[in-house]
Amino acid sequence: MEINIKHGEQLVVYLSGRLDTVTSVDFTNRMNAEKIDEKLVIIDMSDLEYISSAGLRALLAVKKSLAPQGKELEVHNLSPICQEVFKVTGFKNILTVK
Amino acid sequence: MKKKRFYFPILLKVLLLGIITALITSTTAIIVNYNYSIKKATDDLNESANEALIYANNQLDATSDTYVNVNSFIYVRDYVMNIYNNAPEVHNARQKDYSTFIEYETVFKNNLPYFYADGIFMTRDYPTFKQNYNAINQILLNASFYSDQVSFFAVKDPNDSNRFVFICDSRIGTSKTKGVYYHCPASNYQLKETDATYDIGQDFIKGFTLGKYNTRYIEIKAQNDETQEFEVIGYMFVEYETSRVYEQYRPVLINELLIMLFTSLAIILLYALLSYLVFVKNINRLNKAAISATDRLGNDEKFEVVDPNIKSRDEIMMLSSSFVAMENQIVNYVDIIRNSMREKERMNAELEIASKIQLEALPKSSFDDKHISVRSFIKPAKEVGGDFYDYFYLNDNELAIIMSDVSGKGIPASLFMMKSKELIKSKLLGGSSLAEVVKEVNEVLTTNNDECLFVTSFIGVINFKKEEIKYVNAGHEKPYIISKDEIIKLDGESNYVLGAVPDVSFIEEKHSFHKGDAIFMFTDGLNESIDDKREEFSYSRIEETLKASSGSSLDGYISNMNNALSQFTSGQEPFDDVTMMIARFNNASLKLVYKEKNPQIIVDMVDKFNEKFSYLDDEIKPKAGVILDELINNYISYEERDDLVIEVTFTYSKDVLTISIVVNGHDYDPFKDNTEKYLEEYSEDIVAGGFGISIVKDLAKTTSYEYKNGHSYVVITL
Repeated sequence: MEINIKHGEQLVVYLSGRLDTVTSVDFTNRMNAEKIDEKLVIIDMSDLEYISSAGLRALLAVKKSLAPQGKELEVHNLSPICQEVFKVTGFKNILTVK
Repeated sequence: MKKKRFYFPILLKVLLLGIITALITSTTAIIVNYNYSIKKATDDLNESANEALIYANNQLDATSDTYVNVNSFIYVRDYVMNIYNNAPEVHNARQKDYSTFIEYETVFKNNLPYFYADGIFMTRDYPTFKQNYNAINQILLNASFYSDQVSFFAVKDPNDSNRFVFICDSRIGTSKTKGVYYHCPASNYQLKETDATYDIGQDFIKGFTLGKYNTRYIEIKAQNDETQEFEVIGYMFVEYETSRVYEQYRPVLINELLIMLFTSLAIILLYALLSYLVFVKNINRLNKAAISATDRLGNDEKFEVVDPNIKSRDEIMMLSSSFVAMENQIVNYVDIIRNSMREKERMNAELEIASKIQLEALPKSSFDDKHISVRSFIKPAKEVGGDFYDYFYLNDNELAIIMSDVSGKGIPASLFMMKSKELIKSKLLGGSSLAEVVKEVNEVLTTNNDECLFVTSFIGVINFKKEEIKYVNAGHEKPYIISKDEIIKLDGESNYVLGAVPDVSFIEEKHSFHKGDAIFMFTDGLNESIDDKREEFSYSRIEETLKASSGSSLDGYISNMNNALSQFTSGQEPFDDVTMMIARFNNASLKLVYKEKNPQIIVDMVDKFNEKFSYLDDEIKPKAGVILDELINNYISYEERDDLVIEVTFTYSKDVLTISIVVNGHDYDPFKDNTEKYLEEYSEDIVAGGFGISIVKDLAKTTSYEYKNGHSYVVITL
């Protein structure tokens, strides 16, 4: 699992590898540590192999921490398996998927 | 290394040669000249002596009016002979053979007594003697105008005809001598008459050499008053030391020598200069042309003919024209060589491309899918080779595998190889039985095969359903079937090679080929490779290496074989193409056991699965990953016992991936009573949990749960 964060007009987080039980902990820690000034946070999943429910929980936690500040969270470039996971859990309804 | 030779230029050689020649010629000239000059000097001296003698003789000629002189001569002669005959000192001297000298003045002044000896009257009238003596001495003095040589008057010794008594000397009156001396020649003063006899009418001048003196004399004759006969009254001698001739000649000799040397030297220098202008200059030009031609060849510049342009009309001109002819030849050869080099380069470039095309015609060296994993290795001995391997699906259940070796090497073999490869493939894809296919291939290859090339080939078809391999071995090396327990050589019918004999049948055979079995094929470049003792690598070493590789990956088999081979041949370049291929019927099963409660085991599990089933679709692999993550994480999180053992088995068969999970946990069916959780919209109080099983159920084709013997069994299919 690799996490690359790029600040700018919007915060872009590139994920590669798997977002699963083990790596979602790293992801959460990393996001908590990051000082986010941008209005919009984009999680780019183009290089992500798959995401498990642990990963979904981590994403929800980010969403919850951003929402009070009026900041948006978007998820981009989902692979077919990620789309499937988002679909079956309804996460596509609570996160902006592009 | 050659010793550096002393450089000895032509100019120096010419100079040296000239000096030697000059020395020889001038020496010869001087020797000739010297002899002539000595003779002339001798003649001159003799001539002047003759003149002196003739003059004196004339003065003493009895017939002339110089009669007084004759009388004086006789007076002096008698006077001296009287002393000579009677003086005891003279006798003694005579006995002792040496000359003695008596000064007249001493004799007279001292009034010596022996003038009266033996009754012979001797006048004591010295003045009269002196007067007569002076008269004849004057003759000698006058004669010395003709010759500056010493002259004497002498009388024969009455006691010894070989001796003379000298009675008057031309040197009288000079500081040297005062008086007359008796001359008593010693025995070695014997007269030796020379050839210098000189006829002057009545008288003769004779010459002889007396010791170191060259002497000429004349008989002085007078008429006896009583007998009226002419008789010899005495002699006149003229003599000079023989060395005088040489002394006279020495300065002339030195002059001549110097002139000769300087003249020669001048001629030599002129000669050298001319030889430089005529020869050396041209040779240098030729040399310069040769050096510049060589330089240009060495610098790989365009070679051009350099004409030294020598017009000397001699051997050097001929050498020069030969040189130009040689240069012209070189120009031609350089062109030919450069052209052939260019041609060779072009050929090499084409060969390289051909080699690339040939290798590209082969399927890739590594292939994996759900049925089979293939690894191959090929190393042509030349740019292009005659070995080839091939594998391709005939249908969903059948894979053809081919290993072949065309006779010969290089371009002809490679062309035949391409032809054979495509032919076998197209015929196999045509769908006939294997034996028929091989027969047809043989017919085609036999036709129009004037070059008599042939190909040995192992052609196999693996049927994954029947789990068997059928094959025809057309004279090729026997492959090995590597199964779990043993290594079997496919030692069936050898058959004919392809392309050699028409109208022959081929025997098709088959062998079981189960999941996990592998087949190792190769060409004779492997088993017939030789070491420095000319021993072959042989089947037995292949077998050993295969055994030693047991349990290793397919890549391991290939690299082990390569290592064994290069160790055997001590790293020498192989003389034949080396080709090998191993194909394994994939045993799609992986069992993993974990005895710890750590989420990291999930990572390991997924990694190992991905590695083993790398050939699976990219859709299935992540699904399995997600399912493992959800289910195993559940066990790790919710099972309380510390000695938890999780066993996961993956099996891939007939396009279905089955994941079985056995856990020594409590009886809990994860799929039962699970209300599927689905989020409709975001709100702050969403609890993000319980999605795992929903996801698993969605991704899996089937799920099942069973609990027995204290173990829960979960089976998922994908």
